[in-house]
Amino acid sequence: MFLTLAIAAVPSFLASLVEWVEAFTIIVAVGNTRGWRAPIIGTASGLATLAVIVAVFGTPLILFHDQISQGFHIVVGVLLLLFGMRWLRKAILRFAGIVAIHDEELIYQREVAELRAQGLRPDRWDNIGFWFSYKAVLLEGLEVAFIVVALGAQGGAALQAAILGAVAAFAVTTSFGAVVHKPLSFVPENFMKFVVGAMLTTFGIFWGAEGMLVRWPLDAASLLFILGGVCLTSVVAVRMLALIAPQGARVAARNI
Amino acid sequence: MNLLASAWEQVYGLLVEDGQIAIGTLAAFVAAFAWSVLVGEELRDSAGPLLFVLLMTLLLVNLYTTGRKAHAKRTGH
Repeated sequence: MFLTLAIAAVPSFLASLVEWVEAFTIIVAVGNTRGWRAPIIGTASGLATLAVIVAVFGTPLILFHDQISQGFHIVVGVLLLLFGMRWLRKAILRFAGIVAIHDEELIYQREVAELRAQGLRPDRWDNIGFWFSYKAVLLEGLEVAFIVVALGAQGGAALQAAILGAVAAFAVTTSFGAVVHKPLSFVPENFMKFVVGAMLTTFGIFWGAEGMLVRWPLDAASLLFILGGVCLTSVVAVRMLALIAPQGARVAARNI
Repeated sequence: MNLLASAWEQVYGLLVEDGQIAIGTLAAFVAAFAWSVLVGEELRDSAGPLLFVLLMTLLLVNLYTTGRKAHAKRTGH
């Protein structure tokens, strides 16, 4: 029981932390340049939209869990694999220097410049500030919402644990953010992205195979061996990339 | 409209940012599933390790080609 909850909560917390840090950079850029009222309301509205998305997609998965158990494991396994492989690939490319590291400070400066260029009418409701923040929370949070639904699909308690992980990450990010009032560039985003990618890939393989009615030799303990194999493959991949491109390439993520 | 387009782009990107990885992951899953059905009950449990091997091979091949492409782009040949 504890393992099931931890499996849902830990990756959800880490994935959410990465995404909230990215959203926070934009929110703090809006707040510092245009005032805090609109970005706070924009953030709250974005979170409310995400809650609706989790409720809409999460509720049927839990309600019909027992009736479609096998097919359900397959769907969740495939979803986790698609997310996990994507995060893992990107993190490995960043570790190897092929893709440029996500620079929160640089993004902050770019956002501030763009927001300043929009101009400000202090006497009126700040539409731009609202939409910038709403969009940041919604777009970064969409990934969190899908990960929460996929990890929580094991049942009601797992969904609660996954939601709790995401909410805790939001609380941690905003608490730190409220103190420092600048981008949280000290957070090791790429390492966390790698950990989440490795975990999601591991769970995807495990649950996906269970959907094929495979019995793993050590049951849940097999997760550790799969995770070890994923990490080992990643180390081999980073070494391989270092041989192919010793100086790296630093290509922007969207161009790869 | 702009927000909807960004949201769609984001959802699409969530699953298929890199076409080769996304299609390859689905193909690996289908191959392991077909194996589990075709080999019968005795060997069915080998579909799990098979899925693992297929996915890790896919990851290495994808990263190799991506690394080669990025290096060629950088050095101009």
